[in-house]
Amino acid sequence: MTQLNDPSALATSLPEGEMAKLPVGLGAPQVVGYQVSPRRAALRRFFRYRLAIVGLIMLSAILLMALFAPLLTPWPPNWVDFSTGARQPPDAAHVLGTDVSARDIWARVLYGGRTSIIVGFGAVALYLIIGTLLGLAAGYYGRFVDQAIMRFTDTIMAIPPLLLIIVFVAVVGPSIASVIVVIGLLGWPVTARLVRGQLLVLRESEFITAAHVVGVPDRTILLRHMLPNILGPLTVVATFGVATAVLLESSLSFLGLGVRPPEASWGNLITEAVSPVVLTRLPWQWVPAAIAITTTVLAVNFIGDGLRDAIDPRATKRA
Amino acid sequence: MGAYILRRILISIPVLLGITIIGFVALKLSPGDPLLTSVNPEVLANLMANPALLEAERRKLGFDQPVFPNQYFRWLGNVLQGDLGFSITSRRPIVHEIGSRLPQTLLLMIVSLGMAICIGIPIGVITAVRQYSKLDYGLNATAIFLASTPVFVLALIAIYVFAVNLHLLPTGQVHTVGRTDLPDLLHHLILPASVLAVVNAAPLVRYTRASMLEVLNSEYVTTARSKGLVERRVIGRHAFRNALIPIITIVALLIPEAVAGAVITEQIFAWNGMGQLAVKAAGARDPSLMMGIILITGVAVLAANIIADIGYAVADPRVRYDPAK
Repeated sequence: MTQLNDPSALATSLPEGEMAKLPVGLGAPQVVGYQVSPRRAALRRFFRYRLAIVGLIMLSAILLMALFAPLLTPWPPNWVDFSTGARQPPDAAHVLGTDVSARDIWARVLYGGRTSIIVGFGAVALYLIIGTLLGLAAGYYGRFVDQAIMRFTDTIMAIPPLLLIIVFVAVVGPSIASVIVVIGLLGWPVTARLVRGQLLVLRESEFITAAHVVGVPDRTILLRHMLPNILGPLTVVATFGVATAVLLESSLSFLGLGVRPPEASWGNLITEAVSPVVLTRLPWQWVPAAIAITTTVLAVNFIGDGLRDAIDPRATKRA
Repeated sequence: MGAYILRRILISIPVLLGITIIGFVALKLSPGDPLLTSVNPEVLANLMANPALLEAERRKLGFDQPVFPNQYFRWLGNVLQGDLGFSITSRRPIVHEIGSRLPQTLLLMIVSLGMAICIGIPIGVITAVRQYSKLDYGLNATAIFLASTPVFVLALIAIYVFAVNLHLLPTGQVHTVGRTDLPDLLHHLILPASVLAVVNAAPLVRYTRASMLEVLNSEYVTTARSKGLVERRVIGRHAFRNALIPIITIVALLIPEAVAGAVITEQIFAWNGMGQLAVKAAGARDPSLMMGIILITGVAVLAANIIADIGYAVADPRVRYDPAK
């Protein structure tokens, strides 16, 4: 997933005033009188960014709603309520009305949230592991391995992600698991590039040279000295990755190529709106799911923006 | 310059081969008899009657040989000669299937990207010049909001407002039935192209803003100001032209996203292009059709990236001497 959906690939500049106030950069000499650990300083900067807090609250609310879905609605998501009937407008029993198959929309939005969240986090976790390993291998071994991995990365990035994912999900058959695995197996290039780029920069830094000089083994340098320094930018990429993955899953499901009905997903709830009747006369069928997707992605993007500004803004730019 | 272009093309050869390998993998992973996707359906119908002939054909096409490298190179040879095989659903050659859809997609992509550039770059410059103003916050918030909304939701809202409620524009299709003239085409193009343009403009605004801010904070801009240059000239002549250089790369990097957007937009607006074909191919699990679409878009994106890199080198001579490139 290119990070172009969000502008994280290029660090937007931090306000100049803010820049001067930064207590510490990563590994930079201490400029403020009192001692603050880099992590705590980053945390402080994160919480100074108000939108990030808003995002955190929004995302927590969505996570809790998905987690406690059974407590928030009496209806199971696939329950067909014959007594109410299909396409009923919202009332006391069905707070958001019923869909074309007489199922409760509110329940489907809640349970659809589970799908989106599982896919979003699952796929990103998978490709973070793959991307980090490949990036470490490329940056560590260099030469031929580096060339091979980077050309492979270029190749995957040359093909529009949605198209590639559509094709491979179709090949393995659409389901939640295959959506996670396919996004996970094809989404790693950005991570791999970032890790490799950071490694190349770190390799030149003095504390790594110092570690080499005192005879620390290469593997320990890689895992104990370099990897922890990459975790910051990696978190930023992961956050924006979740936003992209949620959008991808909803697009796939909307097209009928991802999570298929009766399994609820925000994307496939909106599929019905392709019919003009649903679009205009039954807004309760698709508007809630649309709001849910936008809110989630917006929340994650806010958090990502905050994290990026909190963690050395120049660090993400090098990638 | 010549050497730079040559080197840039040479390093994309492995990527090009990689794209063909991915296409080949998609083809081979799909279930079904490979004969179906590589033999003319009419010929195949005759062969079906006779198992011995069928077996002979299989051997002739090398399907009894190892998948890699034998089958791959035979297939690559065919692809290089323009033979992408046959669709199992429409029974037509893939080249014809894609060829008849390509112009519509190119039209949609070029118009929408052009619109996105015309909207995104000026807004990005304005937000940078008026940093921290209400206008900056407002436009930025809009851009983040648009980047967080799925393309299909924007498309549905556009249809709801402009096609269903206001009756200004058609809800879909490339042409009204029975018409093939240009005004009719443009009338149908407005809505899908505008939706795609808005989606692609959102990230452009943010990148242009970042790039412009970086230049505005550089020392030569301060110099230009301190020697008494009019602000409009500082921004137009000195800052904007340098800020534009990285944007060339950004526009090229946006193309894969734009293609993804086009796939969804075409599907919603029943726009008879490659994106719609891709969804159809995936839905029907038509392996050779999916492979063909991957190859064509992969090569197109690669070509766009090469052109962007060359454009970058033309705009900024320093790039050509960068040893890291």
